[in-house]
Amino acid sequence: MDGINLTIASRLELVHLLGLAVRGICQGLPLTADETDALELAVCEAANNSIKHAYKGRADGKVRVTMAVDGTGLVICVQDRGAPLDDAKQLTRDLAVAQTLEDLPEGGMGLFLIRNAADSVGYKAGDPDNVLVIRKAFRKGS
Amino acid sequence: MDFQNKVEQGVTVVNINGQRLDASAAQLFKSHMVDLIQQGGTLFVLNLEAVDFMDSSGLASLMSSMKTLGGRGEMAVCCLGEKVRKLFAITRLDRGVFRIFDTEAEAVSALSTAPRAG
Repeated sequence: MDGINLTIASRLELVHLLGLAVRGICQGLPLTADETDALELAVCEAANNSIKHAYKGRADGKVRVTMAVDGTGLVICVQDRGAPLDDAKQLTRDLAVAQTLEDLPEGGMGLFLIRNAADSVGYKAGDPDNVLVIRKAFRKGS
Repeated sequence: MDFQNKVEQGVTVVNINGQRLDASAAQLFKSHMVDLIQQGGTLFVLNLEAVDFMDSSGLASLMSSMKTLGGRGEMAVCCLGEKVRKLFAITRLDRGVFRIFDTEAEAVSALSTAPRAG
């Protein structure tokens, strides 16, 4: 499986660089514009989560994104060495439709957007890296 | 990222001058809106025409601003690009939480004629 590694320091102002790189790579793969938009957003969300929650805002960590392609699709791994995700079940929760100010979700939208972009999402905590795996299949005929 | 404010028909229009309303910009935007609300603003149109990319932190900063405003006024968004509009749809925030208008003029007109809260 061929792949590429991208690494940034754990600073929010650098996350857009990951997004731009992911976008550029996806544009060269058999993915639609919508799929590319969603994957760029998903990687940015995952990196934001690593910085804000795993590293708790510390700037001395690293966020690494690995993108690998095989015959059937794209696998993106987002890795950090901070605190693991408290509850990996958050990855599978749906987002409620908010009708009022009080219903507006305080969090969890990032994970929802990651899941929305992917065919499947996996998570492995620690030892030593936390790894979020985003899989996206190439559509038949593309 | 910076912001330009103007008042039209009693409505404060905030132009967001930056392509990305993301996690690195969200706090700045939130602070800007809190300042405007504390200065007495109650009707706001957020013009997102320049924003090409928004993430969940950007959305959360909009929601936080709405919560800060509470029932004292109203906030609408306008001029959403395709990607941002899609984000509102995916997160289902276009179903009644945010009033979304195609143009700034439509948004200002709607808010300026809306019954005042309180």
